[in-house]
Amino acid sequence: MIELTDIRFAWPDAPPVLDGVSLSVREGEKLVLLGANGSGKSTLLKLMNGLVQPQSGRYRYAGEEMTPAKLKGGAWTRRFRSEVVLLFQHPEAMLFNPTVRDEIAYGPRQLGLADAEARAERWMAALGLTQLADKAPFALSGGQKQKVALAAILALEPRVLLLDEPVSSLDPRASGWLVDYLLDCGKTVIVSTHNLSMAAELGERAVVLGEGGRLLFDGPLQDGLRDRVLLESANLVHRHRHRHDGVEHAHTHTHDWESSR
Amino acid sequence: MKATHWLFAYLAAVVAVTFIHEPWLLAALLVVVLAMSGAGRWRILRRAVLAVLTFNLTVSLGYSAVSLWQGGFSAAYLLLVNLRVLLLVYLGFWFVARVNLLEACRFSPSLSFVVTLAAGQIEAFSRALRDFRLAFVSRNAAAPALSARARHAAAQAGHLLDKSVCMAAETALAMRSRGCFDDHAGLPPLQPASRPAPAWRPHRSEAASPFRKP
Amino acid sequence: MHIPDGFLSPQTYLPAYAAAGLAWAWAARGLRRTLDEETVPRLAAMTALAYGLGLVMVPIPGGTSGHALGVAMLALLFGVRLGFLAYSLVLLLQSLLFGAGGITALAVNALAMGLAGSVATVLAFRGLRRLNETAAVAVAAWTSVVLPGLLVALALGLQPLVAHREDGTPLFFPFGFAITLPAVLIPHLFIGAGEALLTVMVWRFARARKWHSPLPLAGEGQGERA
Repeated sequence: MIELTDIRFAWPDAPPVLDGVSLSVREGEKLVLLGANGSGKSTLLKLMNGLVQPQSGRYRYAGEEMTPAKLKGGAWTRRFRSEVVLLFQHPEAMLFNPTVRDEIAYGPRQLGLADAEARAERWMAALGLTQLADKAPFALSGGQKQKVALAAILALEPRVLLLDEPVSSLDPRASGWLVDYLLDCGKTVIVSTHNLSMAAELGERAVVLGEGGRLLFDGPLQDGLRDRVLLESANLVHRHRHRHDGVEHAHTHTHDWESSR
Repeated sequence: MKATHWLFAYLAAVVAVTFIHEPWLLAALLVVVLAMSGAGRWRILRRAVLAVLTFNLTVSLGYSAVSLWQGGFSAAYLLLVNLRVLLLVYLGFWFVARVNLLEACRFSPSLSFVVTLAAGQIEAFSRALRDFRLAFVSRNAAAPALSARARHAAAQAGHLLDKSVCMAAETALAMRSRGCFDDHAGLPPLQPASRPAPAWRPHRSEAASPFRKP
Repeated sequence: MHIPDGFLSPQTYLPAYAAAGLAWAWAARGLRRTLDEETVPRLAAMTALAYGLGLVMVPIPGGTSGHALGVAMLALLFGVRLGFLAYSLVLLLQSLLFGAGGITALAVNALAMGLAGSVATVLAFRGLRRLNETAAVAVAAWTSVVLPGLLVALALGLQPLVAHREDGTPLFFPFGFAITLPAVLIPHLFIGAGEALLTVMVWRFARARKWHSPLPLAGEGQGERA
């Protein structure tokens, strides 16, 4: 469904953040994108959402080559944007409508769907946002904004979900709901995170991006999480001296980075 | 103080160039400046040409059209103004490439602070607004309506306002915390503590740990 | 209004710098009085804000988009002095740090946009707010774009008059008022409309946020005096 071949990308006036990345994702796969901050996870997701063009390499979605000309507007753009959605790491960048209800209904309304309002109600209920329906998105807390942004993209009922650090500001109840939803939804899901304890819940396959923009690992999630050398070289775990049970030693380990907030 | 000297030299050069009205002199100066610029000269020259191309072409063509029709066309003028603009823009790019403005502002601590703080926040804002723009593209399956575009612009402006108000407050606190607002003039120098500091004892390494290994 | 260096004569930009210098001293002194130790962080934040606003693309009637200006927003929310200094610093950073050039035009732009734009905004707002606050904000914002446009058009159109050879050949910008006034003003009438729309929306946002600035909002007549 998604096929990236030898992608090389650099933001203007910066060194490459993706260097020779090749990736193939089948429909219905659940992929976890791991990497430290700055490793290019967000950029890769933006690329998959057709928001930036690689300097070299190819991106094919559903067999169609993604070129700038294709995304200029028209039927293909419509189809792509309703099938492939991205949740940004800073969800406030996504919100611009006057109320939560309008925000969630925006996408469906744009597509001219007859049940746009019903969808908005449904997804507000699913994410526990009904009491906030008439509030302005900018007035909400970080976690609430993230839920609104999530509802807004889910309301399109897309085929591919690209999620950039989706659990970073979600409270445990909401992140629990999200994990269940992602497992049951049958869609193609690519989630980026640097939270290893959550990663295990979010998919079956792991792709690890290293500093320098190269793919360090692409395979079963459990194998990746067990490979300490890999994780340390990708700056996902560290070692420092610590003491427990009356013992002082140092070994690679993780912390539950932001896993419960 | 070197950066500041370069800044004033640049400013003086700019003023001087605007008093020169002979095209050949400007051309000669351009050659001199190119020679002095070192390895990056062609890149800077290319950037300078691209930067002025649209505006200068418009003005040159407009001038040619108007003066050929109304009379008074002067090719010397076209040469003069284009050479002057190219030289000045080149000097500007050269200055920016060689001199750090933040360093050059050291002669005024307040200006230096303001410019440094602002430059840092500007980077963050540019990245945030880039995300806003991309998110808007991502969320629009069809061409967005005027109202959506207007709201999107307002959302960006609102975000900037929020962040800058927060930044002002935080920075003020941080400056206070680091003693920027304290006036120590007239106070005696701080005496060292009467007790000597404890000796630095390195932790034992893994290999030498007397504790049980797991 | 990006004018590359080399189109404004020293007879224009040197007096402009002198005038701007006086205006900057006036603004800085006034700020120090009201803000004292908060001046630096506040001014830095406002400069970043002004720069950021200039990156926002606003829809303009006619179908295109243009960069926002934000002078009206800053003047209405934070006062003339802060707005003027912040814009001047933005122009400084643009030309000497980010390489956009225009150091000779800086004083003219700072006076036209930063000072005249801010003052016109506040006067228009105060004059009209009794009739209708939203309309007052819109008209003030429109003025904050059109008036500087007029001033810059005048500064450009002046060049053939103040700097020419004996035979009348221009030395700097070649077009007189007959060309610069319509060429600059007409687009600005439309850009002003886009700016008015954005400013009204942001004004409402700032009000709804009930957001707290240590300075009282300039429109309320306390604190800053134009």
